[in-house]
Amino acid sequence: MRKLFIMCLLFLFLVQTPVFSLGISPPIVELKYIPGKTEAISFSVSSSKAMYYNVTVRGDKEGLFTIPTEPGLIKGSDSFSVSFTQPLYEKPGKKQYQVCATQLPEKSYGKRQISALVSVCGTILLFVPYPEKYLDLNFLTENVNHGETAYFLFSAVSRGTDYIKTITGHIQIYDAEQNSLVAVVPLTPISGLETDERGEMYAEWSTLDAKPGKYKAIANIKFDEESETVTKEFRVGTLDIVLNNYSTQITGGGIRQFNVSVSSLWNEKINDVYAKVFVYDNSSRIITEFQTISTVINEPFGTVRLSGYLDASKLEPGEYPINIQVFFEGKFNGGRGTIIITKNHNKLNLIVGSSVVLLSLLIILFGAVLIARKEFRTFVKKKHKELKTRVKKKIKRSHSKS
Amino acid sequence: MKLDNNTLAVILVVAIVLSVGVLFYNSGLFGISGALTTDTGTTNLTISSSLSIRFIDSESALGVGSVYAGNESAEINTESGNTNGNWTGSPPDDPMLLENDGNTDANITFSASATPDSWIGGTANGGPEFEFKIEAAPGNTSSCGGNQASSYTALSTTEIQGCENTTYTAGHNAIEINYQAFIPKDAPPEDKEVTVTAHAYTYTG
Repeated sequence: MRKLFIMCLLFLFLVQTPVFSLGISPPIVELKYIPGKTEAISFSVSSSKAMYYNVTVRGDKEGLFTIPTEPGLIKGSDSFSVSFTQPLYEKPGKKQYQVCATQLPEKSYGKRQISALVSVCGTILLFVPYPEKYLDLNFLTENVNHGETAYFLFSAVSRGTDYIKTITGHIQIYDAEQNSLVAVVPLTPISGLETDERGEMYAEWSTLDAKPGKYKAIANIKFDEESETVTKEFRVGTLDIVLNNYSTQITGGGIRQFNVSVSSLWNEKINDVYAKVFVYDNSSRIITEFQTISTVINEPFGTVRLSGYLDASKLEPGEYPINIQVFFEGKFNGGRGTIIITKNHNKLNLIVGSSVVLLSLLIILFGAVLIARKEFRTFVKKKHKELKTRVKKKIKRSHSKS
Repeated sequence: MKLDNNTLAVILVVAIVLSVGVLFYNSGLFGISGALTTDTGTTNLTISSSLSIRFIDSESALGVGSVYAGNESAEINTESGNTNGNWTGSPPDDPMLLENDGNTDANITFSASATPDSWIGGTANGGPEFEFKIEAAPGNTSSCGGNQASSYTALSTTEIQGCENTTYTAGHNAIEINYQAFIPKDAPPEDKEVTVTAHAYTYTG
């Protein structure tokens, strides 16, 4: 019992793998660019197990940072601060530094050959303004379902030295397949953006009268005398499924896997998706039919493979018409096509191979019988001769006695 | 202690009076009522952003063994065992598993605590090599955006880009890391250890 306990402990020790996490907050600190300014920036770190860590700065080649020199100890959480003096940059644009908390290795024995540590880094971000007016635009839009409202959101940040008085714009919505203009919607304006200041522009479009499919949103943004164009694609979904392709060639002579690839045209999950497959003869009579396994299309506009099994054991090689019906959410869609059943060469090879082996065995058996028969005859002749000789000798002996 | 009937009667009366009093008090007959009112409350909730990574499995083993006589080096990895070597105790499937368990998308790089020359040693067949490979962890998809180590990539003391964007969304946030080493035939016989550090940076696009 004691041995068993020790073995269990040992097993637990062996199967246990260290699980730990290390986090840093905030992950991004954005500073306003003021050359020469020194400020203290605080970070908090947390870990699922007690650990020592040290602080380093990635890319600090100019001695801009003062960091803790002694290792810190995280027992649940801890915090540290670094001092940062902003340098004078010659080139405008995004500048970033990473302040990292790195786990220190424990002194232990019997470690695995490759062990791991973690390091998490907070990013200090600053933007050196571009001369005059400069606008950073981030265009967000999402796929929708038919009948829903499509929303278009613009996040604008002034990254230039000059003040921007007004930002206006509109979005042209094109049918991406036919490249035809469907609608023009105005964006809410922004007035007055200082350097590094943010604003949001917004527009919406009802898809009630739109046909499902792919669309292209072209945003024309004007900020004072400047302008910019940004394009984004989005889809208007409909609760439908399209058949992409299926197994067009199947080897006959057995039960074979048959795959159907389908794609969702819906911007949400579709439950209980399966296909029924009917195979016809040339007189349009159903020879065989089967159903695939039911599945769920989790991803919006996602693609899945439906698998089923076709009994091709009674199907002669040749081409057969088929009908695939895909069922989902109380609806169905599908299409017709053909399937080619090919000869089962493996089966043919097996028959030929077996026949050859059988024939060879028969020949060997026949040969063996012939040899045995010959040997038996020789043996019988020999015995007959011996018997004859013995009888003759006996007769001779009896004559000589008399 | 014995109680006479009078004392018992007094205790009983006090108990009844107390019970009835409490009953009246609670029923509101004393004018204290639970008047029906409508009221609203506001709850503020702020979720701070955090960059956090977690090793679900932080150890891998390459086993114990030697290079077969007649070969210049052996290749061992945590995925499929070894070639040209007699290695035992090398699990054919012993990757590390790393997860983004924060609420910020992460850019993940990797570095080793020592160069292959120093932790493996030897010079035959061009010297030792140590490599890593990243793929989505079982049950995950698209968890290593911009994978720079989709095939075995040299890993040394300099940080090497792994995943440019590992999201924190469940089912897309865990990666599997496998290792491969080339051991020269003249590598010194001893226990070898190396520490791999996973560095997480905020993905800024």
